[in-house]
Parts: sequence; C-alpha cells; structure tokens
Amino acid sequence: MESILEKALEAAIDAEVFRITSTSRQVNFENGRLKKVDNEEEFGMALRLVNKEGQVGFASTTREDDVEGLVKRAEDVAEFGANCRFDMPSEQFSKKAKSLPLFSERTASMSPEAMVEQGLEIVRLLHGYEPQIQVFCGFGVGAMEVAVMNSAGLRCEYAKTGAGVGLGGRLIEGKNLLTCFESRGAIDFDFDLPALARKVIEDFEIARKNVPFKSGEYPVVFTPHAVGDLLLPIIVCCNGRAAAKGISPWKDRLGEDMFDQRITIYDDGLLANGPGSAYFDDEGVPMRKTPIVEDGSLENFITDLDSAFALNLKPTGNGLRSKRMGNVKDAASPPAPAITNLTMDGGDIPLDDMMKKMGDGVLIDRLMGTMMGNLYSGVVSGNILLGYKVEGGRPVGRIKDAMMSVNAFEALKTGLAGLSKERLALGNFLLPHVWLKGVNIATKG
Amino acid sequence: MKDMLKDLVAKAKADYAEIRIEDSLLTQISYKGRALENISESAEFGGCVRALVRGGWGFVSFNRLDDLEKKMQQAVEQATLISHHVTHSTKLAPVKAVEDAVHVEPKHDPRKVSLKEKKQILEGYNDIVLSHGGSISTSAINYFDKFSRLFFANSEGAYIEQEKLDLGGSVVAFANQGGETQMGRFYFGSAGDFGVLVGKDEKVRNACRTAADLLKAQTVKGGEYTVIADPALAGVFAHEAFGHLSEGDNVYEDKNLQKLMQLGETFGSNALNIYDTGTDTGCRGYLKYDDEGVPTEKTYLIRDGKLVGRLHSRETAGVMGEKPTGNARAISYRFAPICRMRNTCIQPGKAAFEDMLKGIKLGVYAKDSYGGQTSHEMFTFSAGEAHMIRDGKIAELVKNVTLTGNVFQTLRHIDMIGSDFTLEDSGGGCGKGGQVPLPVSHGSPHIRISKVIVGGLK
Repeated sequence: MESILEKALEAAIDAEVFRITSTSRQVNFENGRLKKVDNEEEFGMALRLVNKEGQVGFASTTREDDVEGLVKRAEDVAEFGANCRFDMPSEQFSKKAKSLPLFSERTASMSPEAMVEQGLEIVRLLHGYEPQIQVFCGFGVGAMEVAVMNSAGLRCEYAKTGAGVGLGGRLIEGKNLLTCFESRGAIDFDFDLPALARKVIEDFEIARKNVPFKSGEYPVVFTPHAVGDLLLPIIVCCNGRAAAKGISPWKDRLGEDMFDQRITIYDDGLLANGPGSAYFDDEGVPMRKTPIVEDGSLENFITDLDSAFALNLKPTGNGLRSKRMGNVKDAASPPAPAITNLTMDGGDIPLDDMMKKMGDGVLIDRLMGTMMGNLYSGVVSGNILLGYKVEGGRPVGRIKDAMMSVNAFEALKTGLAGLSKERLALGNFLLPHVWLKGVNIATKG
Repeated sequence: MKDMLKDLVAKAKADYAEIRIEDSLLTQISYKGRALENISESAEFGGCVRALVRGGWGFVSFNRLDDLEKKMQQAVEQATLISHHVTHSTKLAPVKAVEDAVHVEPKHDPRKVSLKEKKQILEGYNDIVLSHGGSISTSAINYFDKFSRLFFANSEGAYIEQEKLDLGGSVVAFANQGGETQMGRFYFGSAGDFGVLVGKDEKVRNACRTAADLLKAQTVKGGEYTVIADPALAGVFAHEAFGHLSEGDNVYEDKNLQKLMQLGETFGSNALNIYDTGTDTGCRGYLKYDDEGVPTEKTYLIRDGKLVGRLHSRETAGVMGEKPTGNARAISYRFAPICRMRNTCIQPGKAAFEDMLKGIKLGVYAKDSYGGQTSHEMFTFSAGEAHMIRDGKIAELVKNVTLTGNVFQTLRHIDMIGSDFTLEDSGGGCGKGGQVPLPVSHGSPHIRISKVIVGGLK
C-alpha cells in the first residue's frame, strides 16, 4: 500500500489507498437438502488521488500487482474529475473504540462441517413440525481485513469477522404459498438456531390459516422486521449526500421537531456485535454513535467527508464503500454516506401488554416492495407478505393479497400509539415493535 | 489460457467440473446536482471453480489466480463433504460441449467514446434539468459501461471465450416544494449501443415535467381497480408475476409446486403469451451462452394461456427431465450460476389502446416502473407515473401507485393485450440469491388487468 501511495504522490498532491482482503465460507440447504458449500477469497484495492489541479480521480483493481495500472487510471480520470473540497483525515481512531470486539475467533475458524451439522438439525426441526415444508437454510462466516492510509499521515487497519444465517421454508397447501423465515447477522456467530427454528414454526402455525379481511383503516403493530420498512424514508432522508444536494426534503430542518417525542433513532458504528460496526469508516474517519432523531427532533445527517464539507458539518464516520444495490463492502465503489447500524429506542410497554392494549387490529411482520416507491415523500407502500388479523391481542390468522400504505413522516408524528420495551437485533438494525393508529390497508373487494 | 483451463477441469476428480475466469473494466460517471460525484475506472479480474460430486456442489471463488489446482481440489473436497449427506441423485441435462469465441460488435461502441465526450453528453442533460426552473430543484445522473471477457471450460470438453458489453444509467429530475420531493426519470440500457443515450433531450425534459407535475398530484386512493399498464410497467409485471415463478430451481424439487405448475396448466386467457429470450441482440438480457456454456434460446413460458415451459439450468432440467434453456446465470465470478431470466416479454395481441379505455368507469393508467418484487405467489410493482381513468378517459395524475397481484388470479385477469410492443432496458437489474443487479430486459404491449389491488392513503 505504501508503494501505491508513493507512486501516486509522484504526480498527485494528495492520495488515499483503501484495501480489503477477505475470506468467507457458506453452506446452503435447499428444499431440505444439503446443496452447496462455497468458499470465497477476495482482494480489492482502491486509489483516490487529487491531482495538481485539485481534481479527484478514483480507480480500483482486484490485482495486487496492478500498481502502475491503478495509479495511471486514477490519474487519467482525475483529469475529468471534480475539485476536491475536503481534507483527508489524519486523526487516528481512538483507543477507546478499539476496546470494541470486532473479531471472533470461533467465527473465523468455524468449519463447513459444523455448519452442515447445524443445518441438518434445522431441517429435522422444521420437518418434525411439517414434512411438507421445503426447508431452506444458509450459513455464512467470514473474516476480512480493511486498511486505509492517506497522504495526511493516516494509517489504520482492522480485522473483523462476520456471520449470517437465514432459515425457513415454503409450504404449499392448495393454491396457497406460505414462506416463513428468519435471518440474523452479526460479528460473532452467536445465534440461537433452535429458537429461530421455533419462531418459524410458530409463524407457520398461525399463518397456515387465512382469515377474511376487509379494506379499511386499522391499528397496526409492526414487528421489528416491518419497522425496518417503516424507517426507509428516514434512512434515505438523513443521508448527508441527499441533504447536501437538496434531494432530501430535510436539508434545512436540522433541530426541528419532526416526530413524536418518543422517537429516538441512532446510527451506531460502535454497536456491540453489530455487523456494521468498525473502528473507522472506509475513509478512515472514526466511527461513532450519531443521533439522527432524538426525542422527535432531527439531530444529524450521516455524512462522509465530502457531504460533511458541503453541509459544513463534521464527518460522522459513515463514508462506506458498498456495492451498488447491496451492503457488501466493495473496493470498486467510491465512498458514500451509508448507515452503519441503525438503532431505535424502545418504549416502556412490554410487547404482550401492547398487543392486549391494541385488542383488535393487525400485526404486520413482513412487507414486500416497499423499496420501490418514492421514499423521499415518506410514503411506504407494500404488499403484506406476512401479516395477521389480531383479535383480543392475539393473532388469529393470516391476511393475504393486501397492500399497506402509510406516510411514515406523518404516522410517526401524529399516529404513534406505542413502542415495545423489547427490541430485536436484525442484522445491522436494532428495533422495537411499533404500534400505529389508523393505517390504510387495501385488499380485494 | 485455453489449454491450461481445459486441462485443469479434465483432471478434477468430480462427476462434473467447470472453471470461469472474468476480466473486466467498469467505467462509472455520476452527478448529483451540478457536482460531479464520481468518475472512476475499476478493473476486476477473478475466477471460480465449481465441482459436482454425487449430487453435492463445491464452489470456490478467488481474485488470486495462482495455484488453480489447489482451488479445484478444494471445490472437489467441499462437494465430497456434501455428497456424504446426499440421498438423492442429481443429473445434469446433457448438452453438446461447445467450443466457441464470441465477440461483441457494438453499434456505437462506448469504448470508443472518450471520457470527455461521455461527460459532455451527461452534462448536457444535467443542464436541461438544472435550468428547467419552477419546482425542479436538483438532478442525479448515473452512467456506467462495463466490458468483460469471460472464459469458460468444463470437464465435458466445452471451452467458450465470450466478450460482453453492458451499459446503462439514468437521469433523474427532483422537484421539491413544501417539504415534499418527487422524481421523474429517463433511464437507458443496452448491450453495447452508446446511442441509447445520445439525443435524448426531450426524454430528459419529460422527466422534469413529470417530477414537477407529481408535486401537484394527489395520492391514489387505495382499493381494487382495473389497470392499464404501459409496456414499461407491463414488462416488469411479466418479470415479477410469472418470470420468477418459472425459474426451474423453484419447482424442480418441490412436488407440491410441480402439481400447481404442470405443463399444460391454464394460467391466463387464450390471448396470453409470455416468453423469455436470450437471443435478442442489443438488449441487456442478450447472451449467446449462459454461464454453464449452454446456448440460449427463446423459451415460451405461457402459450395461448397455458404453461408450456420453464427457465432451466442443467441441473433443474436434468432432474425434471426437461430441456435446458440457457438460463443459468451468475452475476460475476463470485457466484455460482442459478436460474435467472434474460429478456422477458409479453407477446403483442390485437387490442387498440382506445378500446382498452372503453368501459372503464374508474381505473388507473399506470406507466413507467420503479421496479417490483415477488414472493412467487404474490408480487408487487410500482409505477413511476399514473393517471386515473374516469368514464373511459384518462384523467388526473396521481402519485404513489404501488400495485399487487397474485399469480393464480391476476394473470387470468388480463383481459386485453395491446397490438403495440416496446422493449425496455434500464440501468438497473434483477436480484435473486444475493446476486444483484443482473442485467435483464423486458418487453410488452399495453395490457389491461382487472381487479388489481392498489395501495394508497385514505
């Protein structure tokens, strides 16, 4: 890396090198059968330089020996590049942050055999409930090393593990297709797999029965899975780049009371066992916990170096290099503001009590198609992939072929009925159940 | 390269083995507002090996191409580990082992267009958006082109070198007023014709007008409507409503789904024909061979309303005793190929657009697409722009139109199929099994569907 930096600085005034090396293993079961064991080794490097005219050029490669090519491509594109507006950071990440465990030895060394055994057990559990279920189940573990260095003197690197699991099944009864599944992601493979399998079985048990349902406005409890959908408009609008460019309708609204006072949402790059946690972002800025919405008020945008400069704010350590349409780290993607881990504070009412208090209504667990709308308008609209009619605080059966639509900005301001005390860690989300008044659901007839 | 790769797979101790190597260069340019956000060139070089041992697959991907024999051995070991647990037999459908070299012959080669020229064209569009005035507040422009050389060899003697060119992107106009943001888009995509983004000023102006108009539009009222979908949206509908369900890996081991998806089963009216093809040169879903070295073809899924085919890999075709169709695709060397679509189309029918409008008292004319999603049975698709239809006439613009359907009902509710036909390519793509965005295309005439559930606020 040093050699790339040196080579780049022969003609450039500033430069930054990013490198990622990773290995991962996956085991997959499909249709109840062990199908595939994958092994991936990945290497990628990116160079961002500022030429003598002050213009930025970016290039990447997956070949370690491609130093000259990498520097030349970055120099070539810099000639057409935008003017660099920010200073590269020299701040080294703090010792305190380094106390956060990012590397799990047992995760890094987990063998395919061990994952196969656990998968067989899941298939056994789900088939024990219903042999007709087409069980799918996938495990993945990996380790990566990330390094960033720049001409301002920054030298930082970390090693981190990642683990993921997804399990569930599809059950066809008549012309009724029902898929129930759970998935988790973390730094350490600490998943309670039998508990996840039991949850899937519970869902199958209730959802196998379809119940009649009419269009209308209902009180709805969203499970943390569905709360993830409900927060999509907030995620896109708090993005520093969208704010800096005037795409986000929130660009001039920092400090304003936007939501119900009970709403507090953080981006937390230092969340324990959070798959999005790290010591620093992909530009070398230390990660931190940033309030986005605190007691209903819009507190911060999440920023990378460039958008922080444009907004005249401090960078929040959210400059991440992620693949287009995915959150996989990727050297070929230039840094852009993105969520690390998103957490939402819970309330003081236990979930069971909240359901009882709602009495009759709807429980929405999974939504489909919510990404496709105009999220900047706050509208979240999607098919209720898995949702239940609730009577007397208990789900009594599945509602199908129905669309839920809500303006999340308005609903979380004037329509909030409650937040559960319990929260659930779902990949890089840590969220409570959210109870909203008057949610519109459209269905047949 | 050829001898080395052929030798490697021939020596593998597996029932079947293959290697893929990919060498690509990706150019990206993007703007947010006036500012150039990114201009970059990314070189990617990597490969993967896959081995099948008694029904179990081992797959290894890598960027360092040293010691390929060891990687192949690792894939064989992984496959062997699985084979100890395999109780079923897997056979790959037989195909002729092809030796071929495929070169791209672009109409207007993006590789011959300088970065400077590309920038000038995009900045021209950016000027149109940013000088449009009124409520138009800013722009977002994305452009990419990617040239790849793919090398494929398998243990049956196939060896294919394939070049691919892919380009796409979008120009988005944002309108902002009273704390609300709306968008209008012009998108483009092609398997190598840079011409798709030349001279599109009018389309960009249209995107501006759409964004501005949407600010004034009311949100659609949720409920059940008769919907006329334009070709762009109807193509996405075909992809989500039926394409995914037709993918062989859904069906091949699920006896219950096979009962519902028997060839000959009726899914729609006599006028309904849906196909998926890899043979339309120029569109992003074009490919001569899939990633198992199988030549692609035009595969009918629904003919005269009846199910007649599926989209197969060699494994799913082999298990079901059907013909492989060239649908095994991988987004890159980092993934094993799985059953995917190419260019999915509804074949034109006979209806005139005016006749479709007739008799609709209250309906929705939905145009352009923000994309869709499916659970195989239920699916959603979102319109970029939509108007109410009142008493047989196109009426006011409405916003936030997301539609949903059910494969066992909605296809039967297509009651008119237009005589027009438009092929659509965007800069986006399809996602499945973590492989996103895969270049695919859609084509369709206008179609009319009754009883579609539209989500909406009160």
